[in-house]
Amino acid sequence: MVTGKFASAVLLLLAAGRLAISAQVDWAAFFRDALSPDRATQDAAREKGLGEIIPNLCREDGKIATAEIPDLAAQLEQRDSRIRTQASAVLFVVARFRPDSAAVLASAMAALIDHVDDPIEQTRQNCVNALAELKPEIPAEALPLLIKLSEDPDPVIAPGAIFGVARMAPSYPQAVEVLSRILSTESPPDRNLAGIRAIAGTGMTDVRLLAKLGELLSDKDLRVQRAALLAINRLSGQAVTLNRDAIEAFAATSTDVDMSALARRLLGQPHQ
Amino acid sequence: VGNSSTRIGVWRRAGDKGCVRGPLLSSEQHVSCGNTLYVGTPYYDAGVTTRYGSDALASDGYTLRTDTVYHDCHYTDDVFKEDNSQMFGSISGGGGSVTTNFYGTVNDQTSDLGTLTPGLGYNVTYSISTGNPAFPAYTFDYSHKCYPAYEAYVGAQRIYGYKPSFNDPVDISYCLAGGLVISGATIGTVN
Repeated sequence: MVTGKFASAVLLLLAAGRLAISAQVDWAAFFRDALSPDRATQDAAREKGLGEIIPNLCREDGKIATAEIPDLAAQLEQRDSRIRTQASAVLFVVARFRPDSAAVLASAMAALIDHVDDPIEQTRQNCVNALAELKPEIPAEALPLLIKLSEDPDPVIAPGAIFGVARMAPSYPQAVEVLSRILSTESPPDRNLAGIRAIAGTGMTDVRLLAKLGELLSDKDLRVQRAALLAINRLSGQAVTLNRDAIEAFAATSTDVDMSALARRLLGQPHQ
Repeated sequence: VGNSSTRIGVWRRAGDKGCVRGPLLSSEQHVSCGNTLYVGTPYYDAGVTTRYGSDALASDGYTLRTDTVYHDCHYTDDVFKEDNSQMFGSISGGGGSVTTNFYGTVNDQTSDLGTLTPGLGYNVTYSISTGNPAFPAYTFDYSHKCYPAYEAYVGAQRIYGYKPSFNDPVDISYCLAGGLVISGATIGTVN
């Protein structure tokens, strides 16, 4: 009898749990509460969002997550810019943390691309960053757009697009060409810096691009020099081997004590 | 009345994988106010962040060991002076009341959350009035991201504080992307 009651209770709990997971989120209501002028309503929405909705969306079954996306992406069309930012932030974390985000977010691609031009800076940034974070691979169709956006003068757009192009470089020679131009000493320092961060952040192995880091060690801009050396340090192995001469020259001429010491360490020379 | 300032702090501790950041990203802004509320020159400081290797955390779970050899993922791995170029403010009033608005974004270069992690962000307005000179009053309107911790002061008086209760990469990324922004207002008298 006790065993029977226990089994029933377990079944009820399992059913309740399944319902809790599969129940779709009312995104309009969630964002309305999150933006409420009443702090208690805000706090309750934040507790639910951070404790349940967002982590679940990033971890639960792909089919369940996919079913959430059309209603979520529809919030990007709201006139209230604050709601669009909220929705774009959710799409960004889904893109970043779900290993199947390219498939899960397929129905949101058009909206993400549209709102790369959103008037709100944070929304623009979230949309381009979401495209650049799609996993396991960024869809091939996105490459022309990311290449175009990599040249965007908007400082919140180009870094995300360049990171996306770098993620696509192992499969697309065109992406390597673009990155090679970005890493040229002829490019402005901000583009160099975004390119270097992308190379380091994606664990780049393309020898042509790794060699570019060595060239940037003699750039006029000290920020670029520093970023290039830190990227070489982070990538290590081939990045050091390919750029040994440039690192030696840097170690001999740099006035930055910290960076000079790092360069010597990369060469296997004793700390001075 | 003294200075009003906003402090923004990351309190993440060193974790157990790779190079991680330490607990102190601080950012302060000050505006000088005399007894009759002079409008002073704002001061912006994006602060310094330190990244630590995974071996930096001592056995007490709190103390961080440091050294002076950087970029080796051992004890202190790097120290950054953060960029304050995106910190702004405006000031109006004088005499009996002054209103100061501070807003901005600051990136955390030690972030271990990925290349495309947005920076922290805030937009706050202090209004201080000496209509009753014995009890100067303040109003503080705030809007900020839900990560990291934020505090507001008038002189040494803490008038607002927020500390996130989570430390999960998903939640942190969501907050820094502008999700679940915290906004409100608080009023009181200056001690």
